[in-house]
Amino acid sequence: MDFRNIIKNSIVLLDGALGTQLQKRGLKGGELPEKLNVTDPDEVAAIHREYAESGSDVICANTFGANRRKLGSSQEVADVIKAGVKLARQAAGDKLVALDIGPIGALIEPLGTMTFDEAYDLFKEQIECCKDQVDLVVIETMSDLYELKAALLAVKENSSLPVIASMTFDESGRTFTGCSVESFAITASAFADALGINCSLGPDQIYPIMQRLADNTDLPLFIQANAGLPDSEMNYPISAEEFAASYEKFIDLGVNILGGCCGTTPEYVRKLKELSMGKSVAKRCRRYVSAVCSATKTVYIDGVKVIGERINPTGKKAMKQALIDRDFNYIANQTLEQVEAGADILDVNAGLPQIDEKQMLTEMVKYIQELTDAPLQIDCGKPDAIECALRYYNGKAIVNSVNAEERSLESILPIVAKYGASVVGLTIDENGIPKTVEERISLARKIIERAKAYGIREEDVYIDCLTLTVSAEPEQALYTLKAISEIKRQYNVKTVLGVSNVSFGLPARQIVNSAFLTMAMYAGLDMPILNPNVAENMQAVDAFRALTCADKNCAAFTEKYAGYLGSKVITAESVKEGSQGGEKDIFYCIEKGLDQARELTAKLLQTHDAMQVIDEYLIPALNRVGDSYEKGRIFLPQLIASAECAKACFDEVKKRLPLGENADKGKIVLATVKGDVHDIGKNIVKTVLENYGYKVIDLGKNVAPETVVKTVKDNGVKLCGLSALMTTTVENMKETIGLLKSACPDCLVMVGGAVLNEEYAAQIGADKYCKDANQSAKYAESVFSK
Amino acid sequence: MKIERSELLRYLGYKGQRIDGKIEENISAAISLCKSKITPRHAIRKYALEREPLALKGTDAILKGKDISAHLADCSEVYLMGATVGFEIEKTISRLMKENPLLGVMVDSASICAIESYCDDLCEELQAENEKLLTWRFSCGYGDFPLSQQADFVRLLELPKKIGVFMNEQSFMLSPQKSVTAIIGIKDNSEVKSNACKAKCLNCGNANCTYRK
Repeated sequence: MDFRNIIKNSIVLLDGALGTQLQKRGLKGGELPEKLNVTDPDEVAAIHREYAESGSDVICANTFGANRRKLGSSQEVADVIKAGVKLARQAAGDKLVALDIGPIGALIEPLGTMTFDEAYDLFKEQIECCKDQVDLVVIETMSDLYELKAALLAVKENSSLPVIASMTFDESGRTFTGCSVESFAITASAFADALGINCSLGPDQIYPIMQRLADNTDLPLFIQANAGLPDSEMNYPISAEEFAASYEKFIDLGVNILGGCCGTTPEYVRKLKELSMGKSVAKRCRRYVSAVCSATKTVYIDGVKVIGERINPTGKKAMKQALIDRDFNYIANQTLEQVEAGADILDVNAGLPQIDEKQMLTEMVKYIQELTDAPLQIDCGKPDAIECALRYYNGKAIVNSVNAEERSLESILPIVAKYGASVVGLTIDENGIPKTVEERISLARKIIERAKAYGIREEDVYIDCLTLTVSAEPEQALYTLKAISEIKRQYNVKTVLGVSNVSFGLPARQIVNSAFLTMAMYAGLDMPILNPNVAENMQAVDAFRALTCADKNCAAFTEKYAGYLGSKVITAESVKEGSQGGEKDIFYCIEKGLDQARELTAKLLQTHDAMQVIDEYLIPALNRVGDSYEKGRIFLPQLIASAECAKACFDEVKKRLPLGENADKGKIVLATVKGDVHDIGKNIVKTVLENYGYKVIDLGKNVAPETVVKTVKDNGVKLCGLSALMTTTVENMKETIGLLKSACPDCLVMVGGAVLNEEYAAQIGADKYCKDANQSAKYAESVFSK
Repeated sequence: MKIERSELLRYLGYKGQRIDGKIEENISAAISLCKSKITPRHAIRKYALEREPLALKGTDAILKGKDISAHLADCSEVYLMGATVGFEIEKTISRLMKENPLLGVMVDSASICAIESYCDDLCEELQAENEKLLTWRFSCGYGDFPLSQQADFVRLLELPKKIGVFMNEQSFMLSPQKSVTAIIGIKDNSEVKSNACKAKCLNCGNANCTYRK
C-alpha cells in the first residue's frame, strides 16, 4: 500500500497520544519517553497494539524526540529509533508504520545558536537509520518554519518516503516563533505530501485555522487535535464522543487524515473510526493563489505589489562598495528604508565580479530575513548561488530570473521546483529582446510550458516583458505594455517589470518613469521593480490602488497623504529631519538630542573646515554629554538620543569631506561571544561608539572566537569589545581573549556584561572592563589618542 | 499585566533626571509598541516535595543548594512555573536597535516590565486559589540554586512544546530572552497575609543592586 495513493481518495486514521499514555502507565516526569523503546518495550508495544486494534491505519513509532541533541550520540539515536520502529511494526500488522519526528528542542539561528545545517544533520540521522523499515514520515508539532524546512529537506534528500508535516498554532493562527498558518502552507506545500495542524488546541479552536490552511494549499490535509487543554493535574476535558463529533466538520472541509494528540486514547480513535465509516473525502476547490512569504508575512499577488530594487550593486556605487567591504550596516539601512517606504518584496542581488556571489548572496539573504519580514526576490543567474540562497531562505522566495534560452530553463527551473519558489521569466532568448508583441508572447509561452513540465504552477511564474529605451526605440514601450495585457489574458501568470530603463537618455526621467509605471499597471503589471524611496514611484502606486478600488474608499491613500505638501525623496535621514523651532547652539542641541543639530552642523561647515567642526564642536559636545551621564544628570535614553543626534552631524561632515579623506577616528570590532545571544548591551555600545565617529565592525551575537580573531587581523584593528551576559558564556569570552592575544598581541580588549566586574575582567585577560557604553567611548578615546 | 512608566524608567537606570518631550514621547510609544508585540504564555504544574535530598516527587529532579532548602523549609508542595512574553517582541527590539536605538532600549525595558508583571499576576492568581500562603518566586541562579537547574524546569514543564521557551544546553540561557522559570512553595500551617512576590527586592541579598526598589 502506497501512502501517497491512499490519501488521494480515502479517509485515513492516524493514531492518538503516546506521551500522555506512557505517563499514565507510570513514566516519570522529565524522562525521555523514547528510551522506553529499549528499556520497557512491552509498555510501548501495548499502546501501539491498542491503537492498531481501535482502527488506526498508521502507527507512529515512539520516536518523536529521538534526536542526537536529546539522546547524546548517533548510536543511541539509531538504537532507540530502530527499536521503536520494530515495536510499531510488530503491533501494526498490516497497518502502515511511520517514523515520527518532532522538534529538536533547541532553536536555530538567529533565535538560538544551532545552525540550519546542524538541524538538517540531526534529522538526516533519524531518517537514515530506519528509512527501509518505515512506510512514511510524520513531522509534527513544529513551531519554527525554518526547522520544519530542514526536516522536510532531510526527508526528501535522503529517502523517497512519503512525508506529512504539521505545525502547532495558537488561536491567532501563529506558532510560538510567529510563523503564520499561511506561511506554513505556502512554504511547506513544495516539500510535503500532506499538511496538517496538531497539538496545542482542541478541535473547535483548530477549525478556523484549518480553514486558513485549506485556503492556501492544494495538498491533502490532516488534523491531530488535543483533547482540550489540561488542568494542573493533567486532566483533559474533551471526551472521546465530543472529540469525534467535532471532527465531522473537518471531514466536510476536506480534511481526510485524522488522528489525535495530547490527551487522546485508543477510545478516541475508535470513535473517529465510527465517524469516518461510510464517509468519503470531500472535494476541495483548486485555488489559484499567487503568493510569496517569509515565515511571518505572506504577500498575495492579488493587486500591485512593489519589489524594492535597491539591494543591488548594478549602477550603484555605494552598494558596490558596501558589498566589497562587507558593510552589512549599509545593507540594513537599504532594507529598512525600502520597507518603511512601502516595498512589499525586496530584490537581493550580490552580482559583483570581485566577490564570491554564492557566498555573499546567501549571507545577505540570511541577514536580511532576520531584519525584515518582507519576502525576498533572489536576483541571480547562477544556479549554484540560487540554490544555496533558496536553501537558507525561510519562506517562499522569488527567483529572478530565467529567460527563454534552453540553458537557462533547464539549469534553473529544477531548482525553483525543488524549493517551491516563484520564478521570473524574461521574454528574451539567444536572439535578444523580441521586437514584436507576438514574439514576446511566444517566449512567455515557452517559459510557462517548460515551468509546468517541471511541476511549477502557472501562478508561480511571473513574466517580465522587458522595457526598452523609448528615446531609442519609440514604439517599443507600447509593445511591452501590449504584451503584458495579452499574456495576462491568456495565462494565469503574474507580471513583473523594471520601469526605469524606459526613460534612459531623456531629461527629467522621473516624469516619464511615473507615467510609464501607471500605464504598465493599467496594462496588467502586478509587480513593478522600482526604488520605493523615490516618492513619485510610490505616489503612482498609491494613486493607482486608490483609482482601481484596491485601496477601498481610498482609505490608505487618505491616511498617507492627508498632510501632503509636495514631493521629496524619503530617506531615513529626511524622515529624521524636521525642525523644532527656536535658536539653540549645537552643544545644546546635541545634549538634548534635537534634530536641529544637523542643520547647525551644515551651517558651521560653511565657515569651518570639516576637522574643525569635529574637533571643536562635535567631540566636545559629546564629551559634555558623557560627563553628564557619568554624573547622573542624564540617563541612558538621553545618552542614546544625544549619540544619535551626533551621528547625523557626523554624516553631514562626511558629506563635505574631500574624496578619499576619512573622518573615522579608528576601527573597533564588537561581538557578543559564542553561545550568548543577548546583544542589547553590545548594540548600545555600538550606537554610542559609532556616534563618536568610530568605524564599528559589528560581528553580531553568538560569534565564534576564530571569527573575532580573523576580523581583527584582516582589518588591523587596535581595539576589540566583547560582551557576555551569563556566567556560563564568560568562559567563551576568556577563550576569545586568549586566542586574540596570541594572534594579535597589539589589539586591546574591552569587555562588558551583567556578570562582569573589574576583577573578573582582569582574570579572564581583558585589558579593560567598561561598565557602560559611555565608559567604552572614553576608553576608545584613550586608546586611539595615543 | 501592566507596564508601569516608573518601572520602565527604573530598568533604564533612571534616578530622577529631568525628562524632556522627546524622551517622554518615546516612553509612551515604547509602552504601546511593547503591548502590541507580546504574547504572554505560561505553564504551571504542582509537585509534592521529598526530603533528603530535596526533590520533586514523581520526577528525577533534585533541588540543589542551601538557599532553595531554606526557601522551601515549611513547604510540602510547590508550583513550578515557566512564563514568557514571546519571540516577536525580541525580534522587534533587535530591529529597533538598528533602526531607532532610543526606542529600542525603551521597548527592551518595557518588555522586562511586561514579563515581571505577568509573573506577578500569575503568582497572585495562584495565591488566590490557595488557602495556604505561598512563598515568593525563586528562580535558578538565585543564591546557590544553580543556573543549571533550569534544565529541570524546561524538561518537566515541557516548555518548548507548551509555551515555546527553549534552553541552550551550554549556557542555560532561555529563548525568548524575556522568559522566566521559578519555583513557588506552598507553606504548611500558614495563613495568607499578603502576596510575597510583591516584595521581591526586599528578599534579595544584593543591597547594592542598581535596580533595587
